[in-house]
Amino acid sequence: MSTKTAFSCLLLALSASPLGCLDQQYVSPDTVSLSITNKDTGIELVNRCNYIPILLGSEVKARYVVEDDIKATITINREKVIVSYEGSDELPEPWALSSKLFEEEVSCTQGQDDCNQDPVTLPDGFNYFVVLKSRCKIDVDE
Amino acid sequence: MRWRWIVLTSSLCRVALAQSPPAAPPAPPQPATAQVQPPAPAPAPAPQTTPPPLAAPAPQLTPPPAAPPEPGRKPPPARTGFQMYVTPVATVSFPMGDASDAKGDQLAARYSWQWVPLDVGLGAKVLDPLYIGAYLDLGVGWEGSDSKTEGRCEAGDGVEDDMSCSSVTLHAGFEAQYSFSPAKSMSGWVGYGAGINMGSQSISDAGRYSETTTASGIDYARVSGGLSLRLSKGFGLSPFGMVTIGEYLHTRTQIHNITKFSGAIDDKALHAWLTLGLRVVIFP
Repeated sequence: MSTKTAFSCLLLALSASPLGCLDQQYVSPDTVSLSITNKDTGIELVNRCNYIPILLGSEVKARYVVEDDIKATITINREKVIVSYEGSDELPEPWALSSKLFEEEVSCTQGQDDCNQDPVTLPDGFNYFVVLKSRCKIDVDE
Repeated sequence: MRWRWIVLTSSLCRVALAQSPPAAPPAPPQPATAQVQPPAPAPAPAPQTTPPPLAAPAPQLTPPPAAPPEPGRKPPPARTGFQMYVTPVATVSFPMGDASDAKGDQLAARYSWQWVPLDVGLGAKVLDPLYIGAYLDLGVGWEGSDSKTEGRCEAGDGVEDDMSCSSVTLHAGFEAQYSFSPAKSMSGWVGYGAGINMGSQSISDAGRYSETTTASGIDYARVSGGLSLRLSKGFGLSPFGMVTIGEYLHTRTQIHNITKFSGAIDDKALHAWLTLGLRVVIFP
């Protein structure tokens, strides 16, 4: 490569670098939303979005009132997203999925055959659709 | 043969000292020659072959009375009372062990090695060899070796992507140190302490996103040792090494400065910090 060619390449690279910056995006963490809907009424009782934390050892934990005494807790760390319940005798075991799933666009419903979840039979009295979905939008106050 | 040479030399010196009284005044023109003069009586040492008179004091490798010992070279006496130390930016700390028992959660994965610009000990020597006091040290560094975090931290540093990552560690507590030779100018020492600890890691993207996780717990053992160089009554230096063994018990995660979790760590594990540095000791 001649000196002139090398110089031209350098100029081209320098002039193109700002364009590269335009393409650059800030590092946005993954998010996951928890949605709980009453099967009978079709009313969505909970719909909240949370970050999947970036740092090793970080954890996000939030508890939401579903109906009456029933509450759902979502625990998120880099490895797992876990939904657990309290407040009634007929509640399913905690539901755990890999956090890695939510790097892509995905929607997982508890008790269904998706998202590589272990097959589970929900109690008869548990009358809710519970869905975890990726790429939700965080509210400012959340 | 060798001792005879020493005897001869010392005799010469003695003679020279004895015969060169304030002879300075008479030799203004050429002090050099004046000094060459003394050797003239050198023949006198000839009698040195008869060692008795001069050779007897020969074993005196002690300096002649004319040169009294310099007071500054004497180590300061051992003392009790107030003592403190600080590290003037010359201390580093290396993480070892696990921050928790969770998979891959090593201390070095969370925190880089730490530069310890602040390490202060305040206390007193209750006995000549025994120091008891409180300590506080603060370290700063970068993110640890965890590849996911590193990947985010190094993603870019342009205007649109201004990631910054850091870590901070803190230890505070009480300690005791035992000096083996408190009255000497150079003395080895060992120490033991215990207290509380804290480690915090942060990632921030120019205000768009920020996350901080702080773990806190107990330091069960802060085992230290070093060499105390007592340069004067009020000042000394001490190169030292230290291993602090602790455990994180509590963790808190904040995202955008809002606490998202605060609670006990379920899977606890022991970790350690290896610290090497140089302390300045006040009233060693």
